[in-house]
Amino acid sequence: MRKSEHKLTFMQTLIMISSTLIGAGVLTLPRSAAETGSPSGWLMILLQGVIFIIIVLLFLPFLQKNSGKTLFKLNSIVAGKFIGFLLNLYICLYFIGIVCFQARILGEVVGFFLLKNTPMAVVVFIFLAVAIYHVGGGVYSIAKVYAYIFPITLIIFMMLLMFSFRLFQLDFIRPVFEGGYQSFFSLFPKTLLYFSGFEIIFYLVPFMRDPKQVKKAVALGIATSTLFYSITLLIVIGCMTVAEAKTVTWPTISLIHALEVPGIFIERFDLFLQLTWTAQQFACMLGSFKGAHIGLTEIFHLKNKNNAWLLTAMLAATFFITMYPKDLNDVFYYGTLLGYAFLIVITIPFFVWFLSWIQKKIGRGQLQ
Amino acid sequence: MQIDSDLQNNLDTLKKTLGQNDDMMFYTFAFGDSRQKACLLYIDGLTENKMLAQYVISPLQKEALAHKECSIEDLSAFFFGFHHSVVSTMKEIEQLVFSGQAILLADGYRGGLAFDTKSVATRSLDEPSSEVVERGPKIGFIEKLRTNTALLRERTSDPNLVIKEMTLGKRTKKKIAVAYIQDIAPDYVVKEVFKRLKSVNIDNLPESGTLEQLIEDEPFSIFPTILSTERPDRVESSLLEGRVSILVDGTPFALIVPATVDEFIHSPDDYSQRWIPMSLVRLLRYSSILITIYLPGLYISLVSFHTGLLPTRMAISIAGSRLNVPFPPFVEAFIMIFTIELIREAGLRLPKPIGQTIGLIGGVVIGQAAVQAQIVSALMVIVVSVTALASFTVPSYAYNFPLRIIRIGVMISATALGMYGVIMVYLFVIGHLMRLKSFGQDYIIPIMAQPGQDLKDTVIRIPTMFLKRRPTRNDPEDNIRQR
Repeated sequence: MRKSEHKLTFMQTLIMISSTLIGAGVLTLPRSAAETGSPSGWLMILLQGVIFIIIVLLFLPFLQKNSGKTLFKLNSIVAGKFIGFLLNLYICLYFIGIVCFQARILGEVVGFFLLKNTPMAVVVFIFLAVAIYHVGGGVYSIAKVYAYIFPITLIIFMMLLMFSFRLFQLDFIRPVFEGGYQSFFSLFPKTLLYFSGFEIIFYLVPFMRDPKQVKKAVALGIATSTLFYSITLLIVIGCMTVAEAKTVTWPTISLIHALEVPGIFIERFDLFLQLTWTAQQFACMLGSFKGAHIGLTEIFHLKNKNNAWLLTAMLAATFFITMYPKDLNDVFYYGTLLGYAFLIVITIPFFVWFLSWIQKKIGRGQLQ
Repeated sequence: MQIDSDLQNNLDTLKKTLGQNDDMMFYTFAFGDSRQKACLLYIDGLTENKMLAQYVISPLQKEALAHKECSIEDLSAFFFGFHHSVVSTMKEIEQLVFSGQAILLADGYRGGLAFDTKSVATRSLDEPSSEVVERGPKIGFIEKLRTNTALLRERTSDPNLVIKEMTLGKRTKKKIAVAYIQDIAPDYVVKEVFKRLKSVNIDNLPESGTLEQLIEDEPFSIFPTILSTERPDRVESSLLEGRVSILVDGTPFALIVPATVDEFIHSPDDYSQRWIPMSLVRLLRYSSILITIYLPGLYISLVSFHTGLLPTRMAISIAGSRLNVPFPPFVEAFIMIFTIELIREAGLRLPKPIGQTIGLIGGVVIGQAAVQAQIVSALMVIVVSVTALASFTVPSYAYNFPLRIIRIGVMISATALGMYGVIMVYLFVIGHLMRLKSFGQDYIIPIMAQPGQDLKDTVIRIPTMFLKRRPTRNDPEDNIRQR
């Protein structure tokens, strides 16, 4: 007898990876890139995209060979109970950190542009509460949410960028590599953080219908977001110069804010940007949230996948951590810390792979 | 208690238990050479008397029965070609007689015969009133199960069409029929349907709606996860897509499972009309759903939170029209939407000609008067009317309710949190929809998550000649529709 199959298709995996990469970066990337004074951030993004695709392709064979298990399971099998526990806890905390960062950025943006008088705690709490409801629904339904939101985001965003193209001046992004290679490479750490997000593949592989396609899906997913970021950066810098992008907090919104297309029903488009970005930010956060949820379920050995206590505890924890930073500068400081945490997180599969390789050499390997 | 060979004994016991009913008939007559006594038990009105006389009494009386002692099975041979069965206990008699069968008891026979002579008053086949289509068969199901299954058979002469019957309802013993096409419907869905039907343990099923609520996946969701229809052509096309249909005796509404959101928005004549206009109509319907849900909420949030986002001249004209209105936008919108819901509910219960008058009174008089009395602004009347109009374009009445409920939710959150509230309700509803399942299959699949060939028949419908495969969302066993 056949059974109904609720697993992710190739397209859903691709969208999920790609969509988790695109979040807060849409609004803050141009400023981070402009801080070094080099207008060639878009090239750096492309370069980093390639680097990350290579890194991912290096560790994916390990996950693919053990496609029935999430990295959380692999950790505790290979590294033993204690070290596995520490690794899992680290990944979970990292995921929760990402969630809080994204939620806080959303709270700041909504408070700044949409709801000036509403306390941020309300905004953030509603955001996290709705997200927790989604998290309870499982990976498959979350992937469907992604597939629903992502195309709308892409279409509206690309449309807005096209509208702003008439402010675009090629001179603003020329000369390429202005300030020499040193200035170009000083961009490297600034834009690195925007690639965090693809680590959701750590838990995604077992949910795929055909795990053989995972490499293609992840590579194409990262490539899509890289292209998206690169175009955004190119157009925003090309429209408002590096000097201006450096001074405003949310350059992308400012750009769309300045845009007026008379003759259409609504002349201003920042509303569209904020609505789609809110939805996109939500989707982006959801992947990490589910990652933390799966990880914690694994750590506490919970039988019930939707343990209400765990979900409530996660909601409370994320809410308080989100409200912890005092102001936006604080938030960006913690963001930088998360960037370093991200670099450590992507070494974990290599570490575990290495351990399992050693175990196989000495004949105690339990994995392929 | 076994049936005795003495007729008088039997009748005495039966009269004790059944005799209190005045519509219970005991018709005694004699037959054969030896003038043996016999009695026919039936419910007057449930049984066709003419049939009894023609097929039961007269063949008996024509036969010359010589010997008195023969078994009831021998007697049964006289009624060859007329559906009947042998009964041996009093309990069976009680059950069968009340389900409309006539029981023949004869003196000297240990047992009786039950004849299926049920005939119920039904209406004739009619055009379904709840699902009107512009083009398509003008025939609907009626209250009689046998006619409905026959309608299905008549439309689908595929030998793989299976119609399985069972009785539900501890007391009223309603017949229900499960129809599916064996080599198309996935077996896990069919099994699930039977499993859920068997778990139903209720005394009475007045309508298929009761059954729907007992077997649906999400009783606490506002969204219906089972489709109900009056149209045989709709059931037929659903069966051919690999779904299962459940028909209940006594109601013209058949259930179709599993259901997807799209099914509630599509109409059967989407396929019978040409594809370009129908694709446009579908686009219209999908956008009207968005309007139904979001328009009042968007208006409220634009007017009360984000006036800066409107074009200047429009903002001025809105402010002008709201100048003398004493209420905040939410109260204003709520008054109008409440009125519209009142008109709708009032018009529904009244006879058709009066119902139309109600609409006129409600729409013209109240709308016009409310604006002139400056209780609501003219723009709000327009917004709410467009919203109501848009909600009428959804073909399914059951699917109308969730849209109207979400609309109120959007309005409330727009009042509290403006645009952010609207988008949060949107995300919440999306999350809820994605979690819903109908008989093990997805209730909604976003466009990007579907395989390419399924997209041919979603928001638009491409020409029929390209619809070569059945949609994979129902997971059909045999997916080739055209070669």
